[in-house]
Amino acid sequence: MDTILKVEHLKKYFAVNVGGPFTRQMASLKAVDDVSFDVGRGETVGLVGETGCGKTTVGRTIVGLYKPTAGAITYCDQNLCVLTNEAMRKVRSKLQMIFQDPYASLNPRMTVGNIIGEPMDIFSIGTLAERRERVQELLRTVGLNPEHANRFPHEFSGGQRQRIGIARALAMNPEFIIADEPISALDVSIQAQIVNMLEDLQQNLGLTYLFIAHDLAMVKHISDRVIVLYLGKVVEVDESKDIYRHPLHPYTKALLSAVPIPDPRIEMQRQRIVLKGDLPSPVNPPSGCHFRTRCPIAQPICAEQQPELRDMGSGHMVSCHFVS
Amino acid sequence: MNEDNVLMRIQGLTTNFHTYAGVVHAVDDLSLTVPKDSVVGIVGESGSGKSVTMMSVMRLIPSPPGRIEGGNVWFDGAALGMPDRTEKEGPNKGMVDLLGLPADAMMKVRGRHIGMIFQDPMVSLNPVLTIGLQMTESMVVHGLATKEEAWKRAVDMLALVGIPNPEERMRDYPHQYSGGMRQRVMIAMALSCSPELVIADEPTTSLDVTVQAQILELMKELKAKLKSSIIIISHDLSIVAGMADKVVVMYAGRVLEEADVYDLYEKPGHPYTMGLMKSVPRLDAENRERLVPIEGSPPDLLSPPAGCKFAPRCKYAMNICREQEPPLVMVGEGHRARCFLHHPAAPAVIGFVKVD
Amino acid sequence: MAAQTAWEFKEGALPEGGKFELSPQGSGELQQIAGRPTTYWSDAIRRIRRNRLAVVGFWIIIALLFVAVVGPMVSPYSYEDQDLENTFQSPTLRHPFGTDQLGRDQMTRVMYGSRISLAVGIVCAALNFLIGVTYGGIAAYFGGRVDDIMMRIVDILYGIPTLIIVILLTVLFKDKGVSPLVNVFIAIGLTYWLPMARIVRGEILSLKEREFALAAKTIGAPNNRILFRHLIPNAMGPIIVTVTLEIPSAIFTEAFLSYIGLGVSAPVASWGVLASDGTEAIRSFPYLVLFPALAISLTMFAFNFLGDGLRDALDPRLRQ
Repeated sequence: MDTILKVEHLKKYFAVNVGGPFTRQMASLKAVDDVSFDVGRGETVGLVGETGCGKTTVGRTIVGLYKPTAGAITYCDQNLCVLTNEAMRKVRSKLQMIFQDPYASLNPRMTVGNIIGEPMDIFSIGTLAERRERVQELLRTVGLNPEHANRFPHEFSGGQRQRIGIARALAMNPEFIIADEPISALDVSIQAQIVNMLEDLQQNLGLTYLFIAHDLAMVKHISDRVIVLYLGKVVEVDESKDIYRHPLHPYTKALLSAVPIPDPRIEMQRQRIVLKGDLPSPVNPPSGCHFRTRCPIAQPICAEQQPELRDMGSGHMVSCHFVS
Repeated sequence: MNEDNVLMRIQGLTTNFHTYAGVVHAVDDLSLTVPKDSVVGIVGESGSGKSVTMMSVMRLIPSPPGRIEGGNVWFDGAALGMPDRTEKEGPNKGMVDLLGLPADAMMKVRGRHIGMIFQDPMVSLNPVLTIGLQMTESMVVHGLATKEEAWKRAVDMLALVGIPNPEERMRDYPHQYSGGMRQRVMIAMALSCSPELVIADEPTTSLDVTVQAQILELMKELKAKLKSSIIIISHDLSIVAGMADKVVVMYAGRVLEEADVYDLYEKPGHPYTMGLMKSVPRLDAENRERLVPIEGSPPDLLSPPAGCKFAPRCKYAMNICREQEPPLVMVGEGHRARCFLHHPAAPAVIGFVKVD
Repeated sequence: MAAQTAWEFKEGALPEGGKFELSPQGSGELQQIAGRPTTYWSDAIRRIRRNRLAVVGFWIIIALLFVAVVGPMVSPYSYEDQDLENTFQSPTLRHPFGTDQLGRDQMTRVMYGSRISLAVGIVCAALNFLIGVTYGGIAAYFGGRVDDIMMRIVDILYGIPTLIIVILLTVLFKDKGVSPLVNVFIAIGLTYWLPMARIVRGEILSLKEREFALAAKTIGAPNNRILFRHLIPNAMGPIIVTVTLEIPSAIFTEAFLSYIGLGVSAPVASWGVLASDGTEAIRSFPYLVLFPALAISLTMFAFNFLGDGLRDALDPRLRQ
């Protein structure tokens, strides 16, 4: 499998004001702090973690919504970080994004047809009639009635809106799609429709996905490989079926055990690893291992030394001092 | 079910919203019983009417546009201590109809007898008052304690829900707490007057999964310690699985199924419940199987379909389903389902017992 | 417990066999959408129709426009024709609003005055759109230093009173053959887009973080397209409300400036000039000040009612 996307030592810091309302005291919020991974062509890689772990920032930096603070993003042997705005705009047609909130990601003043056709409009592809034809075809691809092209987004349900968002992402025949929590705002009965559709599209169009989510069960279902992030750092990477069976990092273990299972016989008996406290602030992360403040097996060394991401064999990577 | 063991019985509750576009039938002729000392889970997607039902019980429906059009909410009269409003005889002997109470009497019920935990603790806490003030307020207002006693009790409650240094944290403002901590405060507040019933509306939806686990563990712990009944509302079948004794599945303002928690997950009696279970991937699944979604979209409550509201999306829909709505029938011990597949004339489908 | 254990059927009739055959609606069909097509604007129009005052205001404005355009054309008098034999006539059928000290028909002059007032209103609206919206939009969209500098300029301009600008312009253009009306236009042009720029900036600041704006970026939309196709159309509600509330204020400013002698002057009839002339004879001929004053008040009310109605109808926070 050839590598389509390579992220190396990516850092993205945001400047935030930590002073009071009348004082200015800037600090850097380390949203993404030295993250590296790669994605193979045709693969689905899941990026999981809780709020504030930096998963959305990673996705947005890849598509160029943010400028990285440091590091390199190589897409098809092209370093995206050094591209000019104009060149980046061209690459974007192959690198698309699906957003989380189907209610906010569609312009409420544009018809669905215009929304889906906009990428073609921007790059002046085809004639007006050809574009209209393509919009109809895309609507059919995502399971919507082509006759609804002149309706407005608010007339559609959440799931249908997410389909429109997917159709827009597909308009330029992309190769790589970053799906940022594409189903978390949808009703349970609709989530499976969208997930199945994403799987079908991958099959038919040969897409590569970076699937960002906090729902571990869904990530495990859809991904080939899973990357677990905590406070801007990668803590574990593994094949999705193995990570459930043999998680190595204590955070991954806790994360897995926190996911409720829809079965009272299992759920009532389950012994959870309940993490203490809350996520520390990414403005002032703990020294050494970022997870140590909540880690059940933390030792003095964790505060002093930052663990390296080590390969435990067959691509299983972990960053913890006590995993061997 | 033992008749004396009922804490709250909702009967024929109907709540509509009158909007420009027409009447939204948010809750339609809903009946539901909450036994004493039990946990009832209400599961439904957005628009299923689960929250509107509970807001109707609390009489917190914004009006206009909302209006409770009919029904009764019977609550245990002995607990309320309103002898002159208690039914003297009939099937609801010893119960008080909350919907018939004057506004000031209802105010005494809210907080004192029914506590509520909301989805978003940041919105439900007043940002300019300290936690201590907000916690003691309801106890003092309901005349349960003096200021000093209330303060002491509030500190105890915060300790109970696992807030470190409760004494100091009483003087903090909501924004000084993290999301999970705020939800703990909400729980402590809901429990501070020892209400007979606690309604938790999506208590963990806005929280991260590890914090959600903390809150769920806490609620399980409290359930064992306290005598309150709990109604837990969620869109997620797996959240109620670990807590509820009884689960009610709602769809389009109706109860589609109601069963003991083990029965519901092992032998669901409605195609919608089955569909919900098949459409979520399980973390403990060995192989990667394709999900089985429920096709279509939830019904438009402005013009719901005739007959069974789920029929347009149902894999087993029959002609009759589109003509009339099936009744909620007993399909087992304490197990009710609203589906014609349980009728003897219906074709045999695995998982559906026939009931005459 | 009230649970039913028996099956009940309509009219008590047992269903025939065929009704219990499985006939699910085919899956894999294209999804349909429920409900009638509605747009933001049709919603807003429906809401504003329920607001009586706003509707009244709207029709008054329409009537005013009609009078301004058609009135002076059909009137048998001209606004500057003097008739020195018929000065200070009380309202009669021939002169419904009476005549002034030079025997000019007051009604024609009031109708002519509405042309000036509405011209001021239109110029104000146009500048609001052209300068205010673009300026505020650009400042907010590019943010950072651009925003800082652009908004400080707005702050400075805010600090200069309109009156001072007009006086300066009057001195500057004195004896240069420039119509005093131009002074008023320039003064209004310099000051009246400022609140709009601020409002648009606030709107765009919050809109540009919304996912649809990010989505436009990811499909490669250039900046001007994002600003003018995605962001500004979504701020249209507040923009229209601001314009409707700015127009009467500009009209009033013109009337006020003319009243104190800094705006247009005789023989051109603006409401302010008419009111000013009228006040001189207010003791003996109060109708001379009454009609222009009424016209000013009516216009103020009409635009403010419509503006308030539009705000209620377009403000998303008040939507149900």
